Amino acid sequence: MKRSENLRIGFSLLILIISVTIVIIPLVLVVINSFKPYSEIAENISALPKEFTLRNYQQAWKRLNFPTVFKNTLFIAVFSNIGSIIFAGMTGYWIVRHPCRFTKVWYLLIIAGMSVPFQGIMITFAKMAGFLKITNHLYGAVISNWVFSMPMSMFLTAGAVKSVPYDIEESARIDGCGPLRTYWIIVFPLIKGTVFTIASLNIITYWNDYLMTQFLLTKKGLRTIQIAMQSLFNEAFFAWDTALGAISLSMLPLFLFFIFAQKQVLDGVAAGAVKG
Amino acid sequence: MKSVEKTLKQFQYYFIFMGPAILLFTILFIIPFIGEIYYSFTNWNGIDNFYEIIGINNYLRTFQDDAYWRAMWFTISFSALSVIFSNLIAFCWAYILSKPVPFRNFWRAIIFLPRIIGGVVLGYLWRFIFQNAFVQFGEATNISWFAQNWFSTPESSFYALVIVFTWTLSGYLMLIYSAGFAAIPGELSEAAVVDGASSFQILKNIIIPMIMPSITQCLFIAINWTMLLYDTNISLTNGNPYRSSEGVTMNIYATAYRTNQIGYGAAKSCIFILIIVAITMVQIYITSRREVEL
Repeated sequence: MKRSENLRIGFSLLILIISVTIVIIPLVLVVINSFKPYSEIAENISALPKEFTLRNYQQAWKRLNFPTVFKNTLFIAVFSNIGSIIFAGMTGYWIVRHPCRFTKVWYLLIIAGMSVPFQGIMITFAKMAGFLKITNHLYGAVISNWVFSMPMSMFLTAGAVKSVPYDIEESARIDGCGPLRTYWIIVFPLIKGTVFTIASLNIITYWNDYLMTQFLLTKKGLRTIQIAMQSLFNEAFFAWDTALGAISLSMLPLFLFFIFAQKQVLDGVAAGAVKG
Repeated sequence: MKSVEKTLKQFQYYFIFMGPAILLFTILFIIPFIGEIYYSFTNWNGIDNFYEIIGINNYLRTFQDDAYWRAMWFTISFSALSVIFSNLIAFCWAYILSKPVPFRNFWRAIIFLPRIIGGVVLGYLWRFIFQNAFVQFGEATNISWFAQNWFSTPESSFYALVIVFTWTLSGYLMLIYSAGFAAIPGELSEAAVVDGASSFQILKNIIIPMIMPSITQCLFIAINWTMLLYDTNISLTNGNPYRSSEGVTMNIYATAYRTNQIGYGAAKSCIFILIIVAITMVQIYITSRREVEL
């Protein structure tokens, strides 16, 4: 029994090492080569840099206009998340605690939004955004993110609210605590875990969005990382060395985020899985 | 009087808690959705202020549009292959990681890592790998499949997209399958072991039936994800060669904005949504019928 157990662990580790190597090789190659001049990349991709250079990063930093695009992307990701937490949470809470025809209809409508992808409404959405004059403002992208992440976020927070015992709220209400305070002081701390796991998953979505953002933000100073990458690759004088610097640079922020929020992100997927 | 005041107060809280969400959702989701259907019956070009209602002409045109159906077929077959590969790999990983293994969280984190790279960056990263790393590797090892001229043949573009989506999806699906494995009561397999069942019998008769809800969910996510491909499409293959690797979204986008036929594009996107909903409904019907409950 003991021996077969060791055999199983050995075999599992072997498969895992092979899998992880295959999964990570593309990333490692990009990072290694981003420190090389082009001649070395063309010569041998798998070699470590002979002549270690940061030139690719300098070029990419300048051509992407990295400080600006990073700031824009961060702004969108952070405020999209804050708004999403506030609105999806409050709506989900109210719908669960006040079941009536009105709330049920809206619950179903918003949930049904999950089955309509952005592609299904993008043409009229772009017209609508133009009509409302929210194009070429960062907050336009923020508001749109609230809307498109609402179905999933609201669905998950509603699920979390259901597991909060109603007695606590009841006694708070008797003590004269209004609905707003009840939600923020009593209910929110109890569903905080779910909320933050959703938030950490949403960050990845907001950060990587391209299709919706390109309808809204066309001005050069408002580019996000994704938009700036797309225009960099469409420019003339395209060269892989600068491009690799740009790719590494654009992956770095989310990579750092993932290292710090690893547990939340991984739990977030599992939480969404169990409730979805 | 008291009750009127109370109702007003109640109304006020409905407004505070649900008002902003309802307002924004209506303006930016429900109205555009209805608008999309409405415009699909018009010949609007998106620029002029006038248009005519032309009935189902856009739909009839879509049915005769070869490029659209080529893109549809491309998307569906690409999606089918990516969904199968990523789910098989994810299931195996989750199965291995469902038993005690050293450094479990480390493996999970690394396997999930590709998921955080998305959008056009994902496509460009892999374009480098295909056009440079694969080619050099192929030349060094004399395996011509790797050394081929990527994105110059329809097949190479097709398989490139399948590889990229398998890479990015597998780790994510692995986590969902892992949650499914964790939800299977341990006593079931233990009892089967006591009765002398082999690992394969346990997998076939206990684990797969019990994990069916996760399979339903993973297939659903993977189908949606791959069918909706756009950013990775434009960055990796950009339709090359000769628009043969063009996904449906790319086709719709080109119709609506390159040739300024908003109405026609809207009709195409309505058909696209109907097809996706139909595919996922069939998939959910088939897989959820096999779900068992204890």
